Amino acid sequence: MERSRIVSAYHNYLVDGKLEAELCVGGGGDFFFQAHRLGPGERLPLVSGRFFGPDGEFLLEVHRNVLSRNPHGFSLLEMKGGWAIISTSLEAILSAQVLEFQKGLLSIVRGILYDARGCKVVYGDEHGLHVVWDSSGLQAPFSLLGAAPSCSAIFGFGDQTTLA
Amino acid sequence: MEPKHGEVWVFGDYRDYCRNRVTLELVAKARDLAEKLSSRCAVVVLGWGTAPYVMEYIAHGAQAVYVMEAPQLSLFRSRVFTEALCSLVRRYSPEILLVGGTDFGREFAPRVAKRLNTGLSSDCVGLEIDEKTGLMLQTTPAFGGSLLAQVITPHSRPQMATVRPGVFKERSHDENATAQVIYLEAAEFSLGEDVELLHEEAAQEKDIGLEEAPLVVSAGLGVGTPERFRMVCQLSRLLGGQLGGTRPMVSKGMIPEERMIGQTGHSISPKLLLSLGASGALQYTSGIQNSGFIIALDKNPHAPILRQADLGVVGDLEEILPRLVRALEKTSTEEEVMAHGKV
Repeated sequence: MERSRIVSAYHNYLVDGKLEAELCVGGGGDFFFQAHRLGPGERLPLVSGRFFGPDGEFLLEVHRNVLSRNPHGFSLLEMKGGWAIISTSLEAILSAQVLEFQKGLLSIVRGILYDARGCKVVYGDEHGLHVVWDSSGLQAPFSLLGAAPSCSAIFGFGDQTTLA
Repeated sequence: MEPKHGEVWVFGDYRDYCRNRVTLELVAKARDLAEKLSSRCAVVVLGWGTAPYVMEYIAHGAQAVYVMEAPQLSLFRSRVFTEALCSLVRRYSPEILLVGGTDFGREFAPRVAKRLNTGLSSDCVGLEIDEKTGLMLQTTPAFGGSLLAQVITPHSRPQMATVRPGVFKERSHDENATAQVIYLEAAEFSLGEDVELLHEEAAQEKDIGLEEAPLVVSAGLGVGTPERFRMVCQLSRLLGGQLGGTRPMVSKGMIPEERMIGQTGHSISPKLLLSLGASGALQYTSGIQNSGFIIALDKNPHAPILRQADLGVVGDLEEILPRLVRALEKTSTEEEVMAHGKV
């Protein structure tokens, strides 16, 4: 089954081993994750989201790489070619690394993200991000909007609508 | 999204990407053709680990990219690629399919055309859209290059053509560009291969950079004797240029085949071309048409090359060549004295 995506000449995220200029995932509870489209000159991958732990406890909220609600004291640590969000015990819950080739950039995001029910929603490895579609037992609990013109519509949105 | 029909497709040959620019050149031409057809330009990428090339094609004008990735597509093998591309053509029905006239493209494109029961114009030097019919006018050398034929494919689809590197100019890199990328599952297509590849070895490269050289000195049969040809070589060295020549010079054994310019050799685009003793047969001039400035020397005042040249000189090379070489030697000696204070 084919799937079309919007791909940028400048920067993309690796999602399921494929290119994607931006990515939005919303789902159970208040969980959401967004990887923003980068414009020429921007070199660090930008993410927003509201993340929870494996027990469903609220961890943090981040907006364009700025930690906005952060009761557990996580830090976003920038390093050469990427960043990592780390806990006080130096455990990374999410990290991003930028690969450079020709004149383009490719970001690989790693980590595991859970929703407010403690269900695994998104995980990232060397093949990029993967969205877990059926973690909660619902038919379509999350939305993947790779080709959406704007991701703003997804914020605060319920958990059973598929826009893709 | 339902794919558009009637697209202008380019086969993405990304091997030796930094030097093999033919796909980017075809993307530029396909974009022009697509605009005239109110369609869009798409590149078909078959391979494995193709992400960087997909982004580059988008930056250079592709409005859509069809990607099929599979380990068995990691090597360019004409049977597997023919199967895959024909399947895609049958599914999406493109209007036009352009293939780079590389070693692979020359083997691959005829197989695809045969399988799809359509026509193929090889080594085209011009592609345009006929405004009345919407058909692609394929300009290609015919009858051994003695004339340029304009070919159309009125009924079969896609209209297919191969184009050698250097014929068209690539678009500049646009990092703001985006495109729709359609990922196709290779498992849905038959990629059968009855040939087992045991070993692959790259051929000894003979890269002489003729296509990228800013200054080329080209020798035609009018140069005459080996002595005068040695002077042409000397002239090329003194000017810091690359030496090339016409097919008759290759046939005579004076110029190696990898330095041949023209329809069956290199298409060059230097800033300055010094063409010596080449009368200007079509098979030669089709390879020099993208030169920035052409200075042509020939003793025949009616030689066609003099009409194409920016500066035409009618004269005897036996007389002109030694004087040119002497003048350049003198200049080079003076420059050395200025630079190092000694000869």
